[in-house]
Amino acid sequence: MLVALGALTGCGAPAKLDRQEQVAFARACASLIERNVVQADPPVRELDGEQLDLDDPAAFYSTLERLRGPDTFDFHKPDNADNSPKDMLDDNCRPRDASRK
Amino acid sequence: MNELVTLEPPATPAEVEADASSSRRKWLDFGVPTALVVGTAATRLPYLSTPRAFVFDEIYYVPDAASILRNGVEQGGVVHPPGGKWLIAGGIRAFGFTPFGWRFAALVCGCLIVLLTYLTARQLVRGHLIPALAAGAVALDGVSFTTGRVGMLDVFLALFTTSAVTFTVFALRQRENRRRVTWCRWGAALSLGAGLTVKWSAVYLLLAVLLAFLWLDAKQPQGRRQGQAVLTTVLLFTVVPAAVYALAYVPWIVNADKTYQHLSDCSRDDDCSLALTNRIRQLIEDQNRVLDFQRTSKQETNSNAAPAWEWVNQQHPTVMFRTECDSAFNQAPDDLAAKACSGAGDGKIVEIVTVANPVVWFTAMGAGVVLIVLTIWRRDMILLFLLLAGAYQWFFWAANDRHSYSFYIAPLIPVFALWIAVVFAQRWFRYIVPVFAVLLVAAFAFYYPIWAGRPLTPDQARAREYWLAY
Repeated sequence: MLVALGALTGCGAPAKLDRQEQVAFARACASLIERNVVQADPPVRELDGEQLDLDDPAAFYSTLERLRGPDTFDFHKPDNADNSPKDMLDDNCRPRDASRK
Repeated sequence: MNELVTLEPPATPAEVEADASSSRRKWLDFGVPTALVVGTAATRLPYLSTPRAFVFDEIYYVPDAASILRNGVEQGGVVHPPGGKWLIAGGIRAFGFTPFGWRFAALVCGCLIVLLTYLTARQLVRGHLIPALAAGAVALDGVSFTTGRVGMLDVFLALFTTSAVTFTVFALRQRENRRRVTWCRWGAALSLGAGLTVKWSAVYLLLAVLLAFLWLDAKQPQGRRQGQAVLTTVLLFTVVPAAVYALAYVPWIVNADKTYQHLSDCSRDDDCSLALTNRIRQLIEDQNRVLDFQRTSKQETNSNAAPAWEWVNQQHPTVMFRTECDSAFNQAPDDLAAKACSGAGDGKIVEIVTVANPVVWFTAMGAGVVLIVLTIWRRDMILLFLLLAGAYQWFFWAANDRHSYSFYIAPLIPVFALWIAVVFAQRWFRYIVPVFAVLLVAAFAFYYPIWAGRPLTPDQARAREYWLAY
């Protein structure tokens, strides 16, 4: 089983890898923001200059969708190659405390 | 030194033959390990895909695994060798970049650890019951359970260290069979090498394994052959692990142009040469960078890490994931929904805590004391090896001023289960076995929600935080 797993790795990337990783990063990003926002009272935070308010879930998630954009995480961008994926996630997903503005 | 670990008299060859030929025994030889593996998978498979967000250090290793699939090497600077990430990548290759895909290899390896624990315990004690209980202790332990369900490295390290322990115990137990000892020596050396490709901390076990095989060599008849055997053992346990480790970096050398080290050298120092000598130099620099990180990273400000001596009463477990649920989370569109709180109402707590099953852990602590007494009393090399296999994998962390995470315990749990098996095989402790079995299952059922990330009310979550009592 372990040999099979290792051998599979040598077969290269699966066809949908980029798309699936984009989605996984988007979910990780949303989850990070959710977890930060839910600790606050009132539950408001800011991301890229936009307010995040979980009291209005539809607006909250549409803001996240908009901020994410289609190319938020480009896994082939040469500039990103020497950054860890966590750096990429952190840069885009860490909500900032509105009171620090 | 005594021959047998248990206080029971050894089975005579005739008894062994009669035992082996019985159809019941053959059925059990197949049925018990199969049931253990299937049972372990059955407890770990449900909710394996939740949360759909990265859990703790999955954020490092899982994208690294994807990067290995794309480029043959990880993206950015890494702090562990690639072996474990190759295994995660295998799961992603098979099932896609989904939570199931990136956690699949951990699930498989976690089941294999349970199987190895059973096979090793079978070498130590008679019958199937106590070995099955030892394997069950691993299956139902919180550290094994949580590490066996996330795309992190510790379960892979635990598999390879347990494999090294298995080979060593087989060799010690059947030391008259020189051919088998030779095979086991190779198996242990290769296992330790594989462990090193996952995390450097595999080296902690190497000393215990080396000592066990040197002891076996010392038992050889005196003369030139004994000296050769000692030399062969020392070489085998240095050259083979080093060779396996080097082999794991062949893809790094081949794909050096995509590595962090090359990219930073190229952009910072205009050193863009891809000559083989330069690739090797960059690999050595990269290893030095990792070494620097491991030396200087103390983690003392990380609330999830603590000095390793605090493992003794599990007072500072690592919380791998925690969220307070809000009904608004249920309205997230699918491509943003982590689903950690799927169906849970406002105020519920979802957390994944890497804390040991208290029944396993505290029984093991007691078993360790009994084992020390037994080892001194009986002067048994197998017992001594089991003690050292646990002690070395704890001592080096405890002696380090670096703060550690509780999932570093993962390689210790199978060894602890073997301690428990050996002690339960003693006549005086047999009456505890049924009590232990019942408490083990009860504790697993009680703590399951904080190991599997199931929603709890804040009161229910607090009731499970037994470490706060310290």
